[in-house]
Amino acid sequence: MTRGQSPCVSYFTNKERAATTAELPLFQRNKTLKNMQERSFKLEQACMDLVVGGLETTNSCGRSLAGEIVFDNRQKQQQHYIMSIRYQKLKEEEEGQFDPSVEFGNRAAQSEESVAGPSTEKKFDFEEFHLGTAPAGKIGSPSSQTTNSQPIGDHTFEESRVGEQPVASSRIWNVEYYRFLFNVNTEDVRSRCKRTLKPFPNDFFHHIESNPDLWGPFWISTTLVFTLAAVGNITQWIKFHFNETSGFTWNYNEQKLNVAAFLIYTYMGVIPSLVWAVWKYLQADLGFPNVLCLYGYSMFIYVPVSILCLIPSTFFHWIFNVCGAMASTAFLVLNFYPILSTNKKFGFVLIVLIGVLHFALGSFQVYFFVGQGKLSRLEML
Amino acid sequence: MMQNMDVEDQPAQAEPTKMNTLDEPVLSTLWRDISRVGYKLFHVLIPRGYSEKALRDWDLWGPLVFCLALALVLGGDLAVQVFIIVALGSIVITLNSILLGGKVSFFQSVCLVGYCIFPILLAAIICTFVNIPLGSKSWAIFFNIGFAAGGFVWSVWASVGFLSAAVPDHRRLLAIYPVILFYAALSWLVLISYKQTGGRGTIGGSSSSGNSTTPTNGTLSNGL
Repeated sequence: MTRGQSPCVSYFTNKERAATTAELPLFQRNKTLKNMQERSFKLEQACMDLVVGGLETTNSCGRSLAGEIVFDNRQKQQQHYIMSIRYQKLKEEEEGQFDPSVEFGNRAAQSEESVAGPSTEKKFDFEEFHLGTAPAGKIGSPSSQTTNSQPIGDHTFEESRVGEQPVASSRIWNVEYYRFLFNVNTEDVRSRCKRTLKPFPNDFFHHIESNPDLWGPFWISTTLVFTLAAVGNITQWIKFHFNETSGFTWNYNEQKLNVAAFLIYTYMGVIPSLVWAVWKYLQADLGFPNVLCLYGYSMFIYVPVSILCLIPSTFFHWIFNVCGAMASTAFLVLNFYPILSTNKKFGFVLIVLIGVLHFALGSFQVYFFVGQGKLSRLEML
Repeated sequence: MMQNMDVEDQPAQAEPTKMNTLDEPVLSTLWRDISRVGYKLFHVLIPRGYSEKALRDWDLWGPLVFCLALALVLGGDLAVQVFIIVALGSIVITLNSILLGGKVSFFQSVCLVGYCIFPILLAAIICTFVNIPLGSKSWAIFFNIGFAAGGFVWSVWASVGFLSAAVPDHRRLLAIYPVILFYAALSWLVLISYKQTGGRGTIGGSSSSGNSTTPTNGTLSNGL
């Protein structure tokens, strides 16, 4: 092999090169070609060894007959080599230093959910929690939510989950945009309801932080409206039928449904908005869905209280309703307490106001059970 | 040759079919829609394996007819409540399913919820007929309770089968609970209508004396 010349070009003799161009008679051509083929095969092997070792052959190698075969193989070998290096890189990144933004960005760009996707995301979020950078539940941030992790003991993040529903393409006037507010399972709702029954530990905000839901507030309020109206009337009917001598006629009081609906829905619509606005003014880091969520779930205890009021005794009605109001208010107030950080005096007054309002609502529910069917005086209002 | 015959046949046939739907007797036009409603109703109430297909072409005639019928049967005050509950309720239930991640088309779900009102309509009709002979006997209410409960259970059973398939597994109860609430509200309306014995009296109608001694303060429920 002479210097400066590619190994392929100088490998074939002139005679051999002539054989490729029909300058020799046929029988000689065939034999030469056969020899060339054998030698090109060996050349191929040699070149492949060179390539796998990482050395490049020059372009002129591609021009000769054998070189074309080698060139083809070289490309394949190069591709194989490049793929193997990428694979190595991926393995290193998975095991060693993990750069979540890059990796997550890469996965988003691919826009395919590979099999490896969920597992790496899981790991990603697990590490993120260790770094203590859980996203806060702010409104309008559906993409920054919801991470999937196994429940760690009983305390943390059992109610967070992967954004199973894609939000990227939805606009604010689509129904699908609001799916991030309903990203809960039956188990989550059940556990959140159970949490409202014990005011201590007061970490409700901590639990719903990354995943406030509006399913609970809306349907608990609606259930409460119907329960108050229905049970109120049933209690009146039971009282009537056990006290036949009282001289009253029992008439179904459909006003109860109207009053209940007005009361509960207005309360749930107006008060949390005001409360959230004031907390925002006090520079507390509180999202509006979180406040709605807390208020909504705090109503949960009124539902069994109403059903208990089927017992037709005014005394028990008062006891049940006042106790229910106290329990619910305690839950609400104690959960607002950790938010107090700045401007303590004003915040304290606010919390007291919240408590008073909620207690008033709870106690007023006695009206549904204690009244005598219709309030003839109040109707004219 | 065969192709030529087909081409010739087509234009000749297109027009007669158009004329047929205009020319056909009114009864057959009506019957076509009624039979479609009936077919869907049958499949909704007694679900079979191929019921999914029956519901795919939704229509809102069925729900409207049942809602109207229920309002007429319950009468008076309650008619307004029926309309409000059915209209708002079906929309809210559908929105709830969609928001929970369900892959269900809006109108299909509204259609389904509306069709499943039929058992409650049946219960209302039976209750009305049962109350005529029984009148204002106080134990008549137990008949009402029985029929209303039966209608409720049937409605919920019919609609749960379709709706629960649309929503992810671990959220099934979250999607079904509003449906239960909806039919419970309608059954409650059927139940409280028992005071109307035969006529179209209002619920708060003063049948006997008692606390309706305020004469001119026309309580809101005393007339409609």
